Amino acid sequence: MHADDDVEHQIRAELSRVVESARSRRSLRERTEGGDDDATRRQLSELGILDAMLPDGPGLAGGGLRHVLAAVEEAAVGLVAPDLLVSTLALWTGLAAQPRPGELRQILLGPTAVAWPGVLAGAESVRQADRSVTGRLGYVPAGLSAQHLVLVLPDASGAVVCLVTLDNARREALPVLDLSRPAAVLELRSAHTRELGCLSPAELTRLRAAWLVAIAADCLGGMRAAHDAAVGYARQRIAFGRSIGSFQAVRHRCADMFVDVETTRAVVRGAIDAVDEGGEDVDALALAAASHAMEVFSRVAESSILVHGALGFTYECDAHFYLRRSYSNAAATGGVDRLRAELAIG
Amino acid sequence: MTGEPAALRAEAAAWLREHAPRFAADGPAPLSPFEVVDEARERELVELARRWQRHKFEAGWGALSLPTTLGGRGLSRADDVMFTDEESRYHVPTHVLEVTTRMVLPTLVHWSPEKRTSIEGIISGREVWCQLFSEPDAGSDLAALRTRATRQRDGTWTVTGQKVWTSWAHLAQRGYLLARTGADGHGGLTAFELDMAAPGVSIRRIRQMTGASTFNEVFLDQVSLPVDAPIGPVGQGWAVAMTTLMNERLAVGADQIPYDELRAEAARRGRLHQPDVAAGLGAIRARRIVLEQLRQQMVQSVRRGGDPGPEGSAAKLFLAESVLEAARFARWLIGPDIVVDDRWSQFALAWPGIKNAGGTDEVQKTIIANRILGLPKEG
Repeated sequence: MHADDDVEHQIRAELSRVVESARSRRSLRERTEGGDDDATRRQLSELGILDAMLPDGPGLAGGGLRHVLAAVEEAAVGLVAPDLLVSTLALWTGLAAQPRPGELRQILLGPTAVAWPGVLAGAESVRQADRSVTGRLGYVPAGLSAQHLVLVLPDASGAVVCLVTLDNARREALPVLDLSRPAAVLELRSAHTRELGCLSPAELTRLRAAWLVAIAADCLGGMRAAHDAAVGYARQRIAFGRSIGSFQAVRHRCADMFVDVETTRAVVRGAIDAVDEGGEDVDALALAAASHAMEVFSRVAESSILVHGALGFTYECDAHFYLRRSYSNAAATGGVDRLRAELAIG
Repeated sequence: MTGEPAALRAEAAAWLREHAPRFAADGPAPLSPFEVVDEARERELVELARRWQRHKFEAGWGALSLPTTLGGRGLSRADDVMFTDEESRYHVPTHVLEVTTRMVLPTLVHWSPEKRTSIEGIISGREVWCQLFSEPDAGSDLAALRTRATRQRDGTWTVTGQKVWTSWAHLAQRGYLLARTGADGHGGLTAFELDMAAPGVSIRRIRQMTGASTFNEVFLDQVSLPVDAPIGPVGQGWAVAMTTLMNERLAVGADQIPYDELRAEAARRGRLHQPDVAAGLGAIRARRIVLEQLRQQMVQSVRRGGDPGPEGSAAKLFLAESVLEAARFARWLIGPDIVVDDRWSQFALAWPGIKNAGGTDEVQKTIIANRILGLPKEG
């Protein structure tokens, strides 16, 4: 169990300020077309969010996920920092392989993309051969601008984690459903690769638990925003001479969304603690957190669109950006039903 | 781990491992509180529950949150919840004492610590209590209740009225009654302690749709209560009841979702590795885990000195929906076997009990909309 601590509060407060300031300058529509503006990028880089994951990093994080995932969640509220989730996964994966300091710096300099066949979609046809990899990665978030790619290649004895240099990679912007998270198709032709380390099956399972929890935190931030927007709109929109938030059907829809948000918040917190503290139930908690968050984020995002009426179906309203993120997230890691089956069978 | 005293949990777990199996009921654990049991079996379970409560009390595990002056260990309510969670791993028959120990006891301790005999009667397993709140015309709308208690010249009280949905009234020695002593509305209520054997108290059992009879109608006809019957100050009945309902939120437990039993049933039928069966089971296990984590949040909040917080209403809604989901899954899993009346078909019928107990979905959602989301009141 974790009680909120000061560092986490501070991270959340700072990220909320970044989100508010980004919102004040540009609409979400403008941001999804052009990415974060320079001011937002500068503010984010000044925060040094990823440093909190380093074992001796500032912010007293002690190498945990909790603080950086608080940042991932808050960034998802405003759909800012499109690469933050991916950079977090890349760094966490790199750290799991215990790289040398120079390699760590390259991952940190970023943006660094990450791919794991079967977990993050589209890394199914990559072959490794003598310090190089060849293949096609069909969906690489942050893949347009990344200098490096952390690649997880499962093998018979667990997995090899590689750092791939993307200098000569062919990149093509992928038209994506989730407009707030740009991605590319990467063609690697004998791309230069350094092996960062090998992971045992147990380490690989633990790594995947962290990935699941990170995706769940991203879902949590998005659903909080979708819920808040719906409640805000229900208070202010007048129909039949009264606020639509006074109609029981709308009120109860908002209450259902609240239950989805609070249940997700609880299970994501528990799962983050389990990852950070090495709890024995970490796998079950991570599977529960991700499958629950992925499913209910879609439901909350759909409800938010419905509360906004016809406006919700248009670009005049931000609700669809969250629905796009939710549908896209729900397909990660093989999808909800696969995670659930694993939770039952192990 | 921060906050939670892991050492106490480990100590409790070790003690339970040694002692609980001796008090476990025979046969498989019930799939819901509304499974049919015959009267002889019910009497056995009550006796077993009382002996188990007494055994816990004598070993120092019967009343963790009570002040030491009342026979407890002066710990937090959160520690009670921790112990209950550990205890729920065993098939000890605690459910007949749930109202008594989880709702009445903390209410008495908070509002009437001078009722030492009654408190001692609960923690030692001597007495079973029931809670007389709902009436035929006042269910979710509790403040509309009409059972009236009138003070006599000698200071005693006379009560007349009708209560309903009273769990375990047919087994209880004592009742915790909410009655009207003043004007209409919240302000005119007082809580009382009632002797269920007093002249004028009559009980009619209600048969639930599963076939079980865990709750009752209770008729009160000119029942006389002693001068010291009130629990808390006269006129403060609403506040007393709120203490009880807050504690009811803490009783929302994941153990009402029978995941292990569903998984065993799927395995018994050779269907565990069917992808849709596995996914369905995983969804139910995820709900249990989510509920456990929600409860941890509530426990943390209580440990910090607060109420269970907004998680309380969310937890009640989520639990009730999860029980319905588990029932739907069970019905799908057993397929044509549903036509026979057995424990699974009774489980398929038990979910409305959980949906209604402690406030319907609609009431919970209205509480969330009003008190948490601050949406405008209904027109």
